[in-house]
Amino acid sequence: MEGGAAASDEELLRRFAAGQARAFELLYQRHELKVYRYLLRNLRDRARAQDALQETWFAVARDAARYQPGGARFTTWLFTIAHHRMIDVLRAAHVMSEQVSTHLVEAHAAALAQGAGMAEPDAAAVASEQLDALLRALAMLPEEQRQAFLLQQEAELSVEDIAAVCGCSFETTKSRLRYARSKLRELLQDCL
Amino acid sequence: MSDSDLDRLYRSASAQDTARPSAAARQAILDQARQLAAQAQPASDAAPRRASRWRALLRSLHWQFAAPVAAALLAAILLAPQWRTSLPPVGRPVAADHATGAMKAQQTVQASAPQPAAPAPLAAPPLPAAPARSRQIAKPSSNLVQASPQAEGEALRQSDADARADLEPSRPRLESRTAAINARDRNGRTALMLAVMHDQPSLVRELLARGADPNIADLDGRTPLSIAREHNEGALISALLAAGAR
Repeated sequence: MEGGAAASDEELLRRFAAGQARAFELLYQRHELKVYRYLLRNLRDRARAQDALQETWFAVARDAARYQPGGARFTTWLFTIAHHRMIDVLRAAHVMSEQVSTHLVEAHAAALAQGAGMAEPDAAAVASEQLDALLRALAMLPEEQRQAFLLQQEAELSVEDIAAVCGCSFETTKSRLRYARSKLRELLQDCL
Repeated sequence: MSDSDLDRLYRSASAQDTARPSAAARQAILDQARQLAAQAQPASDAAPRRASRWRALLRSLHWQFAAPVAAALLAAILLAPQWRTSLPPVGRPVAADHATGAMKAQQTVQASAPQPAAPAPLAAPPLPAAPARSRQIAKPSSNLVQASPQAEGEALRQSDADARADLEPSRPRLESRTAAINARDRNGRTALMLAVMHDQPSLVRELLARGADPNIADLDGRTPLSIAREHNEGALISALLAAGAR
C-alpha cells in the first residue's frame, strides 16, 4: 500500500473504511501492544484481556466508516472503545483488585525466561524484579487511578483526553494521576 | 523519585514484558477486518457501476420510446387538422368511422377466409390512420386464419383507397398549416429535428416534403443537418442537403 507506513492513524482508518484491509493491519500493528497492555494491566487476566482486545478491534473495524476525522484523535477514540470494553468485562466478571493476578505470575516467569539469554544473570534478575514490582504496584492502585495512569503511559494521552476517555472532569483526572504517581513512586522506591 | 524517573522505570520494566495477545486472537481480529474491507470494497465500486447501469437503462429506454413518441407527436401535429374536419355527425361512433379502412380490410380478410377460427379483435384506433398505418392494421393478426394472397391484396388496396379518401378532404387545411410544421418546443427544436434525432428517415422526408424548414436551429445552435452529421446518418444528410439544409 502506497505510503502506508508513513500515513497517519486517521488516514489509515479512512483507507480501511474505503476497503483497504492492509490499512487496518498497519493500524493494528501500531497499537496492538499498547491496547493489550492497557487491558491486561487493568484486568490482570490474559483470557479476559484478549476477549476485550478482540471486541475493541472488532468495534474499530465495524465503526471505521463512522469515525469523524475532525473530532477526537484516533488514539483517543481507540482507547475510549477499549476502556468501555474493559469496564464491561470488569462488571461482568466481577474482577476485584484484590484477586491474585495470573498476569503477575506469567509476567514474572516470562521475564525470567527472557533474562536467561542475557549475558549478565544479574541484569535479567533486575529486569524481572522491576517488571514484577511495577505490575504489583499497578495492581495496588485504585482502579480509576490505575486506568488514568495507564492511559497516560500506554496511550500517551493528554489529561484532557484521559478525562474524555474515562468520562470525568479534567480536575478529577488530574487528581487521579497525581495520586497514582505518588503511590507508585512510594511503592517502587526500592527499584531504582 | 521524580516523575521522569517513574516514567523511565515504567518504560524499562514494560520493555521486559513479553505478554502478547495470542496468534489466534490476532488472526480473528485481522480476519474480521478483511471481511469488512471486502464488503466495503464492492460497495464503493458498486455505486458507479449502479449509476452506469441506470444510465444505460435510461439511454435504452430513451431510444426505445422516444422515437415512437416523436412519431406520435408528429403524426398528431400533421393530422390533427384533418381529424377535426372529418369529425362525424353527433351520435356517430368516432372510432369506428376513423378505423373504417382498417375494419373493412379486416372484414374482407375474414370474409374470404375459409373457416374463421376466432373472432377478429376490434382494432379501433382513436386517431385516423395514415395510409401506411392502415396497411399495418389491415394485416391479418395471428388470431385470424390466413387469407389467400389475392384476398389480402384486395383488402390492402381497399384499405389504402379508403385511407386516401379519408385524407383528401383535409389536405388543403393541412397545407395551410405549414407554419405548424416548424413549431418549436421549449428547447427550440422542430419536428424535423426530432425526427432526425430519432433516426426516422420516412418522417424526415415527409416533413421536408411538406415544407419543414431544415435550417432552423435549436437553442443550442444545432440544426437538423448538424444533428444528422453527429449521428453520421448518410441518408438523412443527403435528404436534408437536397432540401436546402446548410
